[in-house]
Amino acid sequence: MKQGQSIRAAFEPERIMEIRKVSPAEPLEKQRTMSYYVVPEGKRLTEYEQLTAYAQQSADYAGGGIEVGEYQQKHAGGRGAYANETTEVINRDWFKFRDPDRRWFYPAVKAKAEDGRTADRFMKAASSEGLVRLIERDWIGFLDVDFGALTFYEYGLFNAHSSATKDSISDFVKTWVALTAFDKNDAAQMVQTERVFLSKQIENFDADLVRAKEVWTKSPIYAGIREAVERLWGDTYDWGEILWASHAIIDAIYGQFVRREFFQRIAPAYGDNITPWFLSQASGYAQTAKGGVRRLFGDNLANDPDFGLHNRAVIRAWTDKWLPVTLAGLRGFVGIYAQLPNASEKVAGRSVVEEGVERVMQDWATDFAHLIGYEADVAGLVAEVMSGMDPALAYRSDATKSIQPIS
Amino acid sequence: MSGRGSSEGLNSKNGQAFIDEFLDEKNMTVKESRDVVLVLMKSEEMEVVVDDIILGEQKKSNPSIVVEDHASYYWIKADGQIVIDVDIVADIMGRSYNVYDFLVNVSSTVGRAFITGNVFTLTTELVGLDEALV
Amino acid sequence: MQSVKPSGHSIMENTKRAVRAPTSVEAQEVHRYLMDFKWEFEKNRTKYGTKYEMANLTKEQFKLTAKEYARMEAIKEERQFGTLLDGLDRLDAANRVHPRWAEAMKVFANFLECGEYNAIAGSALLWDSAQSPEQKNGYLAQVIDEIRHSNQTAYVNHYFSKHGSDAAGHNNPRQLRSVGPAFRGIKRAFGDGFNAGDPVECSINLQLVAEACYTNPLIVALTEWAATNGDEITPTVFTSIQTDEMRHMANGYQTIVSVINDPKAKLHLNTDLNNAFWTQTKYFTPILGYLFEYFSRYKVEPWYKTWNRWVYEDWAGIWLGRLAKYGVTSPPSLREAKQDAVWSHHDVAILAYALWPLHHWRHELPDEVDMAWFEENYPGWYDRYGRIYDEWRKLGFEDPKSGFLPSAWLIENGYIPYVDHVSGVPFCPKLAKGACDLRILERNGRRYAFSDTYGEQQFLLEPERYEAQDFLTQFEGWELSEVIRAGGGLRSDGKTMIAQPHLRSDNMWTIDDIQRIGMKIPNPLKMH
Repeated sequence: MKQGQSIRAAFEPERIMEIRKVSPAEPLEKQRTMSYYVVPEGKRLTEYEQLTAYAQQSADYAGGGIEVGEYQQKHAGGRGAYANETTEVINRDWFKFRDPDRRWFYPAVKAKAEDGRTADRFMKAASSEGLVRLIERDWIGFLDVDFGALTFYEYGLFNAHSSATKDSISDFVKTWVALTAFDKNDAAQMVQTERVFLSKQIENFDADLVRAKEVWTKSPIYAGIREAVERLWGDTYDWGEILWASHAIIDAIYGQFVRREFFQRIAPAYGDNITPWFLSQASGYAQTAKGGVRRLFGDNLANDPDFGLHNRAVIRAWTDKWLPVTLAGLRGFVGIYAQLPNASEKVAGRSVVEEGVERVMQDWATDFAHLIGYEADVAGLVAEVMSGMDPALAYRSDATKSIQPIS
Repeated sequence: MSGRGSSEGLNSKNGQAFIDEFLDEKNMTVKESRDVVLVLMKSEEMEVVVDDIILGEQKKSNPSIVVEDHASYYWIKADGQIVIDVDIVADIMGRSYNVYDFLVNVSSTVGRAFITGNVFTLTTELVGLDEALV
Repeated sequence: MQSVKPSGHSIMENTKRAVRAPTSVEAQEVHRYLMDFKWEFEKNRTKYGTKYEMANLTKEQFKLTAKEYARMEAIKEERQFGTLLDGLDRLDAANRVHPRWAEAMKVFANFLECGEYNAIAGSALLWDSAQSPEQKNGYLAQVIDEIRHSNQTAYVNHYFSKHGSDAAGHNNPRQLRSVGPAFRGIKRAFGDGFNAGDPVECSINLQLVAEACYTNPLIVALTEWAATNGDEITPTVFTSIQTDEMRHMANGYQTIVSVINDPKAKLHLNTDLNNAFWTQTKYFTPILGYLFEYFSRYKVEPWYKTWNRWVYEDWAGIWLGRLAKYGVTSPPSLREAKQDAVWSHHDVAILAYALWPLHHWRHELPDEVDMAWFEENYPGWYDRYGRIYDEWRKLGFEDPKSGFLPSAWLIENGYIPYVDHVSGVPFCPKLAKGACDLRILERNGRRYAFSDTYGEQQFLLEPERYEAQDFLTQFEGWELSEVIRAGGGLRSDGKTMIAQPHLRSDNMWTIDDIQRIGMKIPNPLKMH
């Protein structure tokens, strides 16, 4: 038996009348916009701005905050929860940042739910028409191992965001960092989702990550990028640096190349139209991240009226640090072309790979290097990456050999 | 009466009688309980869960279950565990409904709650410690 | 499994037979591989270290992927906003709430928002420190949940601003709370307590105590008080918030699972648990009781019964009690906590009334109906508190022309208020019936007041963690109207105050009425 005991005023005539009697005849206050004092980015305050602005209570030394006083409790040693010293870049007003996509929870989660439903429909349709039958045997090993290795790359970058989410200094920034991290987590899981999907349809294709992990951790092809990801995840403390290195360097160069120029371009040549579809979501998330990074590091930091020069110098120094390791990662990765079986020049020839590297590097220079006045010699950077295709450096690792089912 | 209702036991007392017992020396330390508490926000689906599952098969196998209406939610308490097979709920409603749809309206739990496939379990057992969590 | 035959395309002989059957991938089919997402590497260390060892194999009880999480949460949001923007708007629900309760929601919504917002960083801290990928995944989902809750609680203020009968206070709590005497306590318990400390200590504060224990009265029981007082908006939002809290409680339990076999747990866990229980109790026990009982026209039950059920019998019995065999002991502060559950909200209420001009809400004195209810349920209430309220009413508490300020009355009558340095909670030793033991210490030329030894011990062990000034010290010597102006405490006409000592539309206090009194904020620590 349900035991009832509550009385709800909405259903009690006496209470309804009593509430009416004590309620004001006219509203007492005309200012009905929440957080009306916030300076809007556009003409009027958006819902995103109303819900986000100054949700964070910080110490009064956090640039742009409206709080009065100190933190009530701090970390052992005396550092506050959101402290200026967690990053080398400085902002006059951290609360001025706006996510270009105006993501707060509802729109963000709604978009991802739509992506999920679309993926579900795609899988049902693709399996129903037997799309996997088009995939050539030669390619299966790459889906098992190299596509699997992409899980670790995305997962590593995702984890680099944990301290950045914790440390970032304002509500607008923190919300953006967390949602960007969430996209990376999703990207890692969607790689695995495709692998599980394939395992349901391809005999002997096991979705486990054993061989992928073996190659990710042991193959020279991934040694460079793995080291970059590990340094970022385990050994980088400055949250500004983590965000810049993740999205403006490592993912903008290595991630873009691997997703677009390698998998999305090569897979169809082997009859695989499934992988490009799956990766389109991760590519979309990377473009979303790009918008936020450009806004934060460009508009807000590089162009900060007081600290712009300082910030540009810091961000350029970060670029000097992370660009070489990222290039080394990509240089290692392009060795993979030599492993592609029966690949035509049109797919794996040096000139087409070079075109791909150039597209990525040129985009990088336009999107990020120019933002902070970083001198980028695109041709030189491309040449450096392409040296990874030189015959002397091309190899098949033992680990890769041991797992590849390709004749 | 199981004594599990929200106004039973000590909570049936009022004023000074309550305060005296509440602050009595014997009640100054934690007392282990093997009960579990489940709070479901009111919704169409939760009416089915309460009427057909909790007050149906679960109540038959576990007569200790108490369900109370607290305006915006159902407050449910039981000895040991409450198990809800969401596939059965989906069957009754005649529409697609999985365990994550069910979680949309599961407001709170006291005890160890977990899912396995489409089954939701809330138990007094220390899963992950006394027994493995699968 | 039988293979299909080659069909002339460049196909795989090893394609499964069921290749043309529609298939998809369920969340749990992906989740089962999560533990394999990590790899070992030399520099894999947490940036926020803990004194405990967190185990590698800890599991996640709700097995979420990002996509399934998003699908589930989007359904919650569609339902919630559908109800608010469509159903409840058509019913003019915001104007069917008892005005007293609508004032309570100025506080509840914003103060809960403070906790939710800070839990973003708190859960990120745990995501950073956990070793197990499933555990990280659970904490990550919590990070995103906390963004949701921060947005949702803000939306309650936003909704009441737009639709309710008094937008003032709903429309600027993030501004005005900063100077308010009530906010410092929540900043500590629900803010810094969640994200500034050892990650496991933060997890115990956030998940095991605040969420597994106090969110049940704060978010669940509150909805019954709300509906009883005509508010159907808050239950729509809060019961939905709590659907995520359930996973957070599981996260807290998994924190314990991950450390309980570590030998260091024997050394630290019970101390951390007692500190966390007291940290949360010290603020939530008084504030919840105060808001429930003093802001409701229609009462549900005395606060001590809610506390007994949710905190003592169920949380303590079902969580701590069951963990006793793993060495978890009864927190010593339970004794003071229970005394507080009966009296501390009355102790805090009278100080909140005394400091009414500094709030972002309106506040009417208990009337005869309230007083009878209080006396019936809290025998002795009138003699301690009720007679003072009656005295204040006679002296012109509500009348803007009276020149009467209850805070001045307290000091003139020897009821000196202090602020507990660690919890940030104001207290008055001479009035308190809850646990209260005034101690004043001096360190490096500064004086500090404490109302209990648990907080004092935390301060003595790590004084550098508690450096903030309390609001009395910070604003010492300010004329009261200056503080109110500085905090944004005026309505849009530029002179009527947001805070009021009554709920009527007439005879509202203006800033001039306060300025005319000319009260300077005293520092009680200098009265010794």
